[in-house]
This record gives sequence, structure tokens and C-alpha cells, in this order.
Amino acid sequence: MARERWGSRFGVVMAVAGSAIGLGNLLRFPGMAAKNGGGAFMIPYFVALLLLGLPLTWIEWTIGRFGGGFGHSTAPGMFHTLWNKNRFIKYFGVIGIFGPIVIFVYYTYIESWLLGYSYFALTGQYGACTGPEEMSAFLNGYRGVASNAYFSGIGTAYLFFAVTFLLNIVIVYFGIRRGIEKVCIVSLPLLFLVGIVLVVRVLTLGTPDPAHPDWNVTSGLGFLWNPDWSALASGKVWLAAAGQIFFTLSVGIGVILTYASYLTDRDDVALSGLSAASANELVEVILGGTLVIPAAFAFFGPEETMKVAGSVFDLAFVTMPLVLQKLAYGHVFGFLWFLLLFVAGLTSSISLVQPAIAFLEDEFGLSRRSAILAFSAVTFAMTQACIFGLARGVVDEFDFWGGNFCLVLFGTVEAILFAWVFGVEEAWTQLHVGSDITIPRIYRFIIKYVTPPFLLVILGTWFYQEGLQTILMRNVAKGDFWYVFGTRAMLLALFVGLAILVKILWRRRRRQAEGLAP
Amino acid sequence: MTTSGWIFMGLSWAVILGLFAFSMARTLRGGKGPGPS
Repeated sequence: MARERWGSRFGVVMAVAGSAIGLGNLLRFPGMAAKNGGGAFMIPYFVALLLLGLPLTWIEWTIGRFGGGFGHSTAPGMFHTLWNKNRFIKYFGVIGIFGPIVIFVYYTYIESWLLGYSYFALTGQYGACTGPEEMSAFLNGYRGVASNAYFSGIGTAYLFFAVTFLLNIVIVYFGIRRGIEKVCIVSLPLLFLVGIVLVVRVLTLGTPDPAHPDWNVTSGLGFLWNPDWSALASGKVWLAAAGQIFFTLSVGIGVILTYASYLTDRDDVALSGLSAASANELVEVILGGTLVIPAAFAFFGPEETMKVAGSVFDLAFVTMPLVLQKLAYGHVFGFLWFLLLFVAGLTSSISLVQPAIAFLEDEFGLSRRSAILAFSAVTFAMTQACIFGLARGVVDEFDFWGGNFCLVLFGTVEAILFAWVFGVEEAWTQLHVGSDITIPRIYRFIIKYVTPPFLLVILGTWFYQEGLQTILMRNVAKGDFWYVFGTRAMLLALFVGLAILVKILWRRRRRQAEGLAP
Repeated sequence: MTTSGWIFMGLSWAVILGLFAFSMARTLRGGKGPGPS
């Protein structure tokens, strides 16, 4: 069966950029920068982009295309191709299918809140909430965390979740070229357009409250960009910047590997990788850096802004709706804000579906319909745990394993595998096959000697600071223990199930090679 | 916002916009797209 291909280079760049551009660009980055030295944060940020982000991007694009040349769409086959003498590396590659599934399960639910809030903004449903407490109560009522005057149950949230889930599945059902590529080609320019409209509105806010002349948009920009040089002496700030770069570029998940597997040796990966990364940076630094923090500062002042800067959910669902509804045509701007976030979320979530579908379809030989049905059944069932166990730490557990642990581990191992096992000579050659740009030769050195140790430091520090605490369940409330334990058991069962499928697949291939099976 | 704040913001924007403009212009201008299936 012939594998699918992308329709255009612009399409694949938009798809990878769409995968990378998500809520973190617009909400996590500005809060992170404001809390870690303001403008000075951009020094470690750009250093991390050059030494970690771009090399990893190129590594993943190259591994993906190289593995795709052998008919592989996912990490198990690709890792086996890079290191075929090792019998176990393919099982490590299972993370490249497991991680996206786990992230998809909880991410789709959060994405559905954005769809719901787009509707609420247009219909003025949260218009009666005039302060952070009321807006937080509205959010908790919607999510079913509390029963209050706004919502008596989780029915509305469930309806929007069902619509969002179905939308994701339908898009991926249409395939790479007719589904994912078409949606991203339309969605990404729309996202830029809506983002620019909102940036212009924020930059023209002036001084909304005459009683507080210092609370204005220029001071809000200063809150984010004025450099605090002392931050550069802190190792935590450098690690925070490296972590932000790592998480923003969609590396370490397995999605880029799958997307790049649909390219051929005639296609460029060096320039395409750079283009997708730069589009992601544009949304993060320029749009993300101009929206929430300056707007929150102009309306709520420095103390309140600092308080919410670290909370993605507060910024998205509490602070920004409050800010935007104070403007003329506030319901329109509120709708545009949640539409912006929803589009960013949708282009990411559809990318998370594809590795599992590609594994079942391309490697296991299932029809797309069967692959989609199997994926939908498993993920829909798992999402129920997130929906009904939200207040019990289930989503946090999913996020820890899928969105943090697997990413850092997978990224570190693939960088070492590529530079040291596959070999930097061959890696460099493969990176430049069909390339439209020549990457500076210094990157041969960086890919081999800088990026892997850099990742090991991030992995080690992250494990020491956060990982160990969570793995040992030290932060779990007593009443939540069995919920978290059950979630962990469910995730383990998923991983083992995928590993068994890989084992079956390899056995089948071996028998085919020996002529024992058709 | 202080002068150094403006400088940091301006430089960051210039770097990102420059990178984006260069790479997207080359991407859109590039003759060969992905190969046929």
C-alpha cells in the first residue's frame, strides 16, 4: 500500500508549526518571561533556541524522513533503523506513540473548554462575572469541579468535549493531505490574523483606569520586557528558558517524526524545520509577549498580574475574559481570544492523533477506518477518567507522564541515538539530503557535543526538582491516592499494550522475511 | 518601560521576524515541494 505524501512544502511547514503552536505559546511563555528576568530572560531563551531547539528540530525532521524511507511512520521502526543491532531500542520508541496518545486524552478535554468559552463569549454567558472570584467560580462550575449558580452539572462541558473530540477524529480521518494539511493551511493564517487583531487592540488600550495612571499598556510591556540582570546569575532561569524552548517546539513527542516520515529524499528538511520553528517563535514571542501580560497589567496592576502570571488556566479563563469584556465589543474580542486559543489547540491535537493512526495503518496494515475506530475507542474511554477525575489529580498525572516525563526522556535519547549511535557524519549527510539551505558547520559540533549534554542536564535537573516528587506520589493528597494510582495503572497498561503490538509486528516481519508468513 | 526594555523587545522582535521572513520566503519561493506519492 503506497504511503501518503504531503501536498506542498508550505502544507507540511504549517502542519508542524500548527503542532508546535499551542496554549503554551500564548500563555506559558509570557508568564515565564515575566517571572524570570523579563527582557533578560530572552538571552538564555535564544541561547537555548540555538543550542537545543533548532538542533532537536533538525534531528527529528531528519530521523522522520530517514525512517519514512524504510516505510516506518513511528519511532519504534525509526529507532530500529538507526540502531538495528539493538533488539530493545524499538521498545523505547513506543514512547513516541504512547506520549502523543496520553497528551491527546487530556489536551482534547481542555481544548473543548476553549470551544465552550468561545460560545459563552458570544452569548455573553459569563458577562455577569465582574471579578476574578466569580470568573473562577464560573470555570469550576463549567468543569464540574463545583456545583454553583452558573452550572449545576458537567453536561455542557461534556457536550463541547464530544464536539471537539469528533472534530479531531473527522479531520484525521481525511488523512494527511486532505485532512491535516488542509486544516492547517487555513487555520494557521487565521490564527495569525486573529492574533494580530488582538495585539492591535491590546496595544491601543492606553490607560483604562484613570485612578491608576501607572497601570497602562506601556508599563505592562515594561513588566514583561524590562531586564532584570540579576536573573542571569540564576541557574534556574537558564533551565526555565531551556525548558520553555524544549516544550514549545513540539520536540520529544514523536509527532515531527511521523509528519516528516511522509517526505522523500527529494524534499528539504533543514529549511522546513527552520520555517516551522520560526513560525512557532513568532507566535510565542511577538503575539504571546504582547497579549496577556500587558493587558492584565493595564487592568489589574502589577501585583495581581504577578499572581496570575504562572497560571495558564487563570490567564486564559479568568484574567483575559475579565479584561476583554470591559472593552467596547467585548463579546467579539472575547470570542476572538478563545477562537485563537481553540485553533492553536486544534492544530496541536490533530497532530497528536497521527502517530498512533500511522502506526496502526502503515505499520500494522489496518484500514484507516479500523485504525481511527480503535484509537477513538481507547482515547474516548481514557478521557472519561480526565473529565470525571479532574478534581482528583487525574489530569495532572496524565500531564506529568505524557507531557513532561516522556518528552524529556524521549528527546534526550533520540539526540544521543542520532549523534552518537547513528553517527554525526551520517546524520549530517542525511540532514542535507535535498536541502535548500546549508546549515552552518558549527552545528555538527553542537549536535554531537552540546545538545545531548544540555538535554541530560535538563533531564537530571527536572527529575531531581519535580520528577522524583511526583513519581513517589509525595504531592498526592490522601483522598486522591487511588485515583492517581488507578491512572498510573491505566497508563502502564497502555504502554505495555503498545509494546506488545510492537513485539507482534516484529515477529510478523521476521516470519515474512523467513518466508513463513504471507 | 525603560530604554533597555524597549531595546530587548525590539531586538527580540527583529531576530524572530528576520528568521521568519527569511525562512518563509525561501520556503514559499523554493521550487520543489514534497515528491509525488
